[in-house]
Amino acid sequence: MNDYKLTASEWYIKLHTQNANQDLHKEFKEWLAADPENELAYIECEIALSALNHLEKAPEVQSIIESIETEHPETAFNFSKIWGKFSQKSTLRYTTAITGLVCICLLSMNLLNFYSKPPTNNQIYSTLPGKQKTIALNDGSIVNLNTGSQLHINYEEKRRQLALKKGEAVFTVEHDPTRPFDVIAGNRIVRAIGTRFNIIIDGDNIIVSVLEGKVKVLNQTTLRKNTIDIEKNITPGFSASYNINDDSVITITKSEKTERISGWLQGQLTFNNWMLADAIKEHNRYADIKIFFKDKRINAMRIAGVFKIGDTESFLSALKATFPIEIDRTENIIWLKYKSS
Amino acid sequence: MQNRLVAVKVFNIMNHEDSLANDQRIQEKYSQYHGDLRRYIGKLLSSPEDIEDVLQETFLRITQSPPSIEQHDKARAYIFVIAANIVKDKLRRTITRHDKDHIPTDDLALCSDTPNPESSAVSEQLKNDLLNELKNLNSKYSQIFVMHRFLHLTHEEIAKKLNISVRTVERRMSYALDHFRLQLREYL
Repeated sequence: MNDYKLTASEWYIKLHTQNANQDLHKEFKEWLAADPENELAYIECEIALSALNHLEKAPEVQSIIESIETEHPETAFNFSKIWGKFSQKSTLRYTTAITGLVCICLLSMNLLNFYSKPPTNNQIYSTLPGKQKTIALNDGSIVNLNTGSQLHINYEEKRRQLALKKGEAVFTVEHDPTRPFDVIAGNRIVRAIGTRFNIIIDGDNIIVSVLEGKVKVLNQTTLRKNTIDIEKNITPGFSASYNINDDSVITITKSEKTERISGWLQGQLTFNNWMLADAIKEHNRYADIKIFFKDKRINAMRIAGVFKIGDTESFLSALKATFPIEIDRTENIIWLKYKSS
Repeated sequence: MQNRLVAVKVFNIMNHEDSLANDQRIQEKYSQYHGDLRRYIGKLLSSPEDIEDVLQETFLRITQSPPSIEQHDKARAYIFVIAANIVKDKLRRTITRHDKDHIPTDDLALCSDTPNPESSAVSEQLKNDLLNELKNLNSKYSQIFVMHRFLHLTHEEIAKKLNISVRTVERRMSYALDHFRLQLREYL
């Protein structure tokens, strides 16, 4: 085999950067047409990446993510990293260490106010299914990261910028009128000045629910041009929802199922007269064991109750006790069937 | 005018017979690659039904639009391109179905197997080979790859974070991608 191998992957990388233009595409098509071996190599790049997409949860990938988080800590003042690591291992051993840490942290926070705030650059936090993380930022703000989520943090002199790449988080924002607190979610920015709100990314749909204070939802593109176009204010009890594929619509509605948010913050699944289908979908977000059903009658059933996140067994027992269903298990998949007799 | 019409009719009849014989010729020419193709596709896909599907579809497409004469030297590569394209589409469709809908419909086909939305139609062997390759790659390549594909950082963000040039990031991504791609070729 010859040199074309390298060229195929280089083509793939080139074409997927932001500067890929018409000329590049034209050259690419010529390269494809020159030799079917070229086209084959390129398609194989796509297949390999497609296969790798599914392997995010594999231990090999997760250990690399951990090594990235440890090997590339940002500045000398790694305050939030310490908290991030702690929340993963909540064993008794750490209790005394933490009490000490809390004192130091509180002290340091006060000292911080005298000197300029050190930047927090490009920190990444992610959680696996069923796991949660509490991140304390150096301005006093706190982020609660829910199951299967990923957050990027970049604090600068003039602004505090975060990006929720996937999943869900509650942001408790410390009041600082000199620096706006911006969370990029999909194609928009959620801006808060001193407030508390939840953002959840559900596929292409994003919902921002305000718990306290007020937030603004801005269009990402207009912010770059420094003019603010579509700007919606949201107050407590209300939610803004939008689709990442649609730049023109933000829908404001009264917040639904608000107890769900306070629930997950306490490690609970709170269902207040939910349709069973929705409850199961919510359960599956936090669990490695997934529940499915194929009977539409199960869809229409309603459930109310509070369940501990991660306690699939109790959830199933409750379902079995309440509804006419049978449970079928194979490894990590649970099928619910409607009991006809 | 009439003569021309007759000529066209005769031409069409001849073409039909020709095309049947042509199909046969194409089948014969490409059937020599059948074994290799099956091994290749078998490396990529997990279900035997999927593998057969792809093989059949490949030969159907080859017959329906056979390559032009210039490409006959590259006939083998050409048929592999067709097969690879079909595999790629199959994998794409699986991703869409599983990501968007965690609650399967009343589909008997879905119920009879053991559905696992986490994996896909990809073969276990390929998954293991890819993960092994990831593990064995020097961390300067694998970290960049993971940062881009799983942590969703742009090349610029990665360059800034690691204090290297964007060009270096791209070169290392490409190196990693090559190693992954080569895992698909071990069908021999």
